[in-house]
Amino acid sequence: MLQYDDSAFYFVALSFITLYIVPSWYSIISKVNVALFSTDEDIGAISRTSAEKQKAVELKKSSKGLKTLNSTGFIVNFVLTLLCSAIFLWLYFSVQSNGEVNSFDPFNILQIDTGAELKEIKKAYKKMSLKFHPDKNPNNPQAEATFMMVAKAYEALTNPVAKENWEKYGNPDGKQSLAVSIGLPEFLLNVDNRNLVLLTYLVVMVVVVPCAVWSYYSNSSKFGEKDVMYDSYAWYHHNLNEHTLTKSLPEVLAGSAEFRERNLTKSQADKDEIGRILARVKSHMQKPSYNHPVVLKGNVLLHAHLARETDVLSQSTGEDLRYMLRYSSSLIDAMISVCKHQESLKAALNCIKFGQYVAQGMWIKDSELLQLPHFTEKEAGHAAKGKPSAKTIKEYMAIPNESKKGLKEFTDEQKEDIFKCCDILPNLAVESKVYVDDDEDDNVYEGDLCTVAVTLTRKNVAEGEKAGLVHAPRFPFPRREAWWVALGTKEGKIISIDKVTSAERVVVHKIKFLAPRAGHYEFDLYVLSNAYVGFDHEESVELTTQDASALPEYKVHPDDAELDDEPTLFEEMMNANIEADSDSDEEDDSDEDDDDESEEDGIRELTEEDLKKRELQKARKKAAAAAGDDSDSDDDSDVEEVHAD
Amino acid sequence: MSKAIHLLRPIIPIIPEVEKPTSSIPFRERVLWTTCALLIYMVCSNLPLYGAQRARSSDPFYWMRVVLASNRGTLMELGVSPLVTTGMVMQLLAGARVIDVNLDAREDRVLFMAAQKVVGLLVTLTMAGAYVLSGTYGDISSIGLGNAILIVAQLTTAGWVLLMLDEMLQRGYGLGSGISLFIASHVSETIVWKAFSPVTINTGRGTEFEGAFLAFFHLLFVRRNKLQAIGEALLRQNLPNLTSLMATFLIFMACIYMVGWRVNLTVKLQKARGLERPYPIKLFYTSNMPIILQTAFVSNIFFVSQMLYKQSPSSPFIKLFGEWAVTSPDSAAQYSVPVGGLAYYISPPATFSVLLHDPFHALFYLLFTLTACAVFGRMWTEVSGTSVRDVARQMRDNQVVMKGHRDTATAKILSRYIPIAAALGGICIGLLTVLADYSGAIGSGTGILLTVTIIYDFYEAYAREFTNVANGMTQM
Repeated sequence: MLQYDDSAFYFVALSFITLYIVPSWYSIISKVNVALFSTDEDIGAISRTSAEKQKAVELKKSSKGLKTLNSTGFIVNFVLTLLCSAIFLWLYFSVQSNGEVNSFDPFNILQIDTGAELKEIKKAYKKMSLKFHPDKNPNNPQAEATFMMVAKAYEALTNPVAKENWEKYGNPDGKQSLAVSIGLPEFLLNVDNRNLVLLTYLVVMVVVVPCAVWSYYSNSSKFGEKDVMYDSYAWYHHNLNEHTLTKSLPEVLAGSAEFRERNLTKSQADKDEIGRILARVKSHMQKPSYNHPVVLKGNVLLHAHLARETDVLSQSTGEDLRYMLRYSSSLIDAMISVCKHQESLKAALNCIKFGQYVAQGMWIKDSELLQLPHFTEKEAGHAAKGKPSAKTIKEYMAIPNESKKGLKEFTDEQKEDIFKCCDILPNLAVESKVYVDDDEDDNVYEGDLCTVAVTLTRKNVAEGEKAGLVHAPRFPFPRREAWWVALGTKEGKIISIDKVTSAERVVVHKIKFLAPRAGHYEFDLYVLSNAYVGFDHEESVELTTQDASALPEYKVHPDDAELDDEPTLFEEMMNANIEADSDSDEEDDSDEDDDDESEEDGIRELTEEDLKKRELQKARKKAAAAAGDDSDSDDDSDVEEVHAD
Repeated sequence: MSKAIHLLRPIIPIIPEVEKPTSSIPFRERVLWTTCALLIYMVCSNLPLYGAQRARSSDPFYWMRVVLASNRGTLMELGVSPLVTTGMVMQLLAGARVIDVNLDAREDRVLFMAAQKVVGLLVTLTMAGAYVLSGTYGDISSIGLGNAILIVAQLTTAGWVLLMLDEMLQRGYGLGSGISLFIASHVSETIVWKAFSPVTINTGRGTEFEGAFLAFFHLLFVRRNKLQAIGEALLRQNLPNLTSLMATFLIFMACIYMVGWRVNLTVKLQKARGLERPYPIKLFYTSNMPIILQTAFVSNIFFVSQMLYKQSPSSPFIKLFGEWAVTSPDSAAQYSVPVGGLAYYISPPATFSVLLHDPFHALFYLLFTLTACAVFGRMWTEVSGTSVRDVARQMRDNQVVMKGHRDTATAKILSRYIPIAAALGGICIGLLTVLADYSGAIGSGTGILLTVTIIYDFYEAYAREFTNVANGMTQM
């Protein structure tokens, strides 16, 4: 029966607690460090124009400071770590007072330094033995025991035989019996506790562990790709089709499974507020097709954001909108992937455009110029009417700063913001090329895998620099610039749609697809921003494929054609040296420890097969010789034949 | 004769079978299944056999334990050996045309699987019987017939459970094959145990922990001289120490680093132009096969030599082949070790001090292992159908050619890489193993090598899983 050992358990517990608290403290400290001392750039709270200032302040407020650490995971971990640290200290001190677990250290017994000189040892021995001598301490068993130990220690340090024994086995008397125990608390083995221990074990193993696994599993199985819920995907599949228009998309987004719990209106006051907001944004909205309170609330809030009417929102509904916008990017990406699955290019493009509107906080009928800071419909109208007139943002950017219209009522600082923003806004050049990646022939034949290489060049970004964050003052979170590249047929079917996220100045995106049957084709190539309105690029890509029969036929290299006749390594060896072969064969089969018969079988089998092959080869050779073709290969095999024989 | 397999038809309904999943199982779920299988294996490999006498004799299969993932005296005594044996037997039978199957026909495939299972069950039963009859758990007369039957029943059931687990994993519920999974987990378990074992041993020198890591803490707290404590934790000889733990870690890292070395050839499909694929030729072209074969080879030599030595310990010829002795009685586990003859020279030196003591042994062992690994690596390409000839033929039949080498034969380009990779990879694997053995890494060099390569294979499967998802999206 194995013994459990309490004092050893202290050390086990100490070690495991150390293993936990060291990395745990490290992670806590680094998290606190990030929360308190991270720079504004790290959290994306940069203000390039005064319009972005408000957003930067908000971001700083929400993602900096001790408040951000207020999550369940962090607090639980922190409390646990504190608890473990306390246990650690307690264990550490109790171990210190407990002292060493029965060990024989002669230096310690004689109360001298480890490795002391012989002279010192003798001196200490004399002193100790005088002090604890039984004659001087009659009827004191403890002193007697100490005296024995002192004598033993002295012997261990002076007598060479005893010394060797001590060094080897830890005891001057020689080898002791081996005592094995386990560093677990003794009460686990106590008969009185047996039921309790068993019960705990049972509960942990049969109830807690399976429940934990199940809950983790059922929770994680709710989420599909890109951490979007399966229910959301199902909802999008139901609601998106090739006739979906941009104006109905806020409703689709509002119905996502992620918002269903949060957007549930509970009280009458909530409902009244939604009604009030609805009255404000109704003119921007199409008639809702779902009247479910969750969808309606999300829909109304999103429209408030799009119509720039967020000032009517209360504190709590503002938070709800913020929550929706936080997830909007990944959810819109999921919507696009659903469109891709349904192969409808138009719906996908509409989803991308919806994403642009959400990022800029503006809606379909608004002027593109509203993306500029401080611009309202009034200034946009001036810009459109003025001379030179600019209806689109691209036109407006092309006008030199001095003659830009609609700036009359702005201060110098505000004008500066607008010019700066025009520099940040993208200026993208797109080039495309169709080819087949082959080293011999660039023409496209039926069944080839052809490549459309789309080169995106950000002209507003200096050489060697990277594109910064998107200028989107109304979107409360930092957003990276990305471009959607879509290729579709004239009938509106998607061939490929991808998000190009690289921030480099020049990015090459390759689309690969199988070339259709011989003929002339035209495809539509779209390059759309993920966050800016009015910078969409559209062009036509032409492709001429030739019939596959025009391709030169595949010719096997003459050397490769001979492969079947080449002898295997085994055949070579078997003919060269039978012994070596049987050896190697045994080794190969010896994964298992027995089976002599099967090994022999294997050898016999190999030789039989080999004979067959040889015969075949000879027959082939004869035929070849008779036909008299390809003398080259014939020579080769002859050499091998001689060598083998 | 050719349709002997059809005799099995009436019993097919009663053979337990894992049903194929109706749709492909998501990665998350497969991880779950794999974990379940692993747990069952772990429990089995720690449950002692009921009715067996505690074996006092030295362990004759000590060398095989790592490769076979078996644990002495537990339900997993047989480890994966029934699985491996069954696979081999079936391959041989099919290869020798004793059973003639057309694996393209559905019925034949079902029959072949059934036959494989029947053979598996029989092999397990036979092996269990052989173990008990040979007296591994004590003489039958001393343990009694009832216990003997009980032991056979336990071993057989455990073996069948393992067979079913392997089938489940291979049917698409798990990741990779059961065999490699069990081997890897066995070695990992050993390493974790050696690092964290809470067992204490008192030899009169005071309590010592078996686990290297726990011992480090214990010594650090207990010893007054902290420097000495660290020194002892690092270098103690009788139990696992921190040095071997670190060596294990280093070998792990080195392995992972080297496993990634590869030459990327680019191939293109003649049928679909423009489709080019990287065709990586890894340095570890044959993966861990050389070391498995080498271990199996060495353990067979040991097995035979040990048997011969037991028969007639005095014969000079047998002594030349191998001389055996039981390890010093104070170490925790007892097993026979070779002390002379060929068997001694091809066994790894136990510790660094032994290495210095007999450098010739070390040198011979090194040369032997490296050569054996290179030869086995080269040979395995032939056996497994990955030799230059086979690969080139396969490419030719699929109209795959090397990009940018129109005028050179594929075989010629491949022969520049494959044989070298196979042999050199074998040598590297051998070298790592030897290094691990010299530095006293836990779980033996072979074990670590196996584990790393298996884990890397898992990792690659995992990576493939995700690139597939990504590719599937761009193709649509």
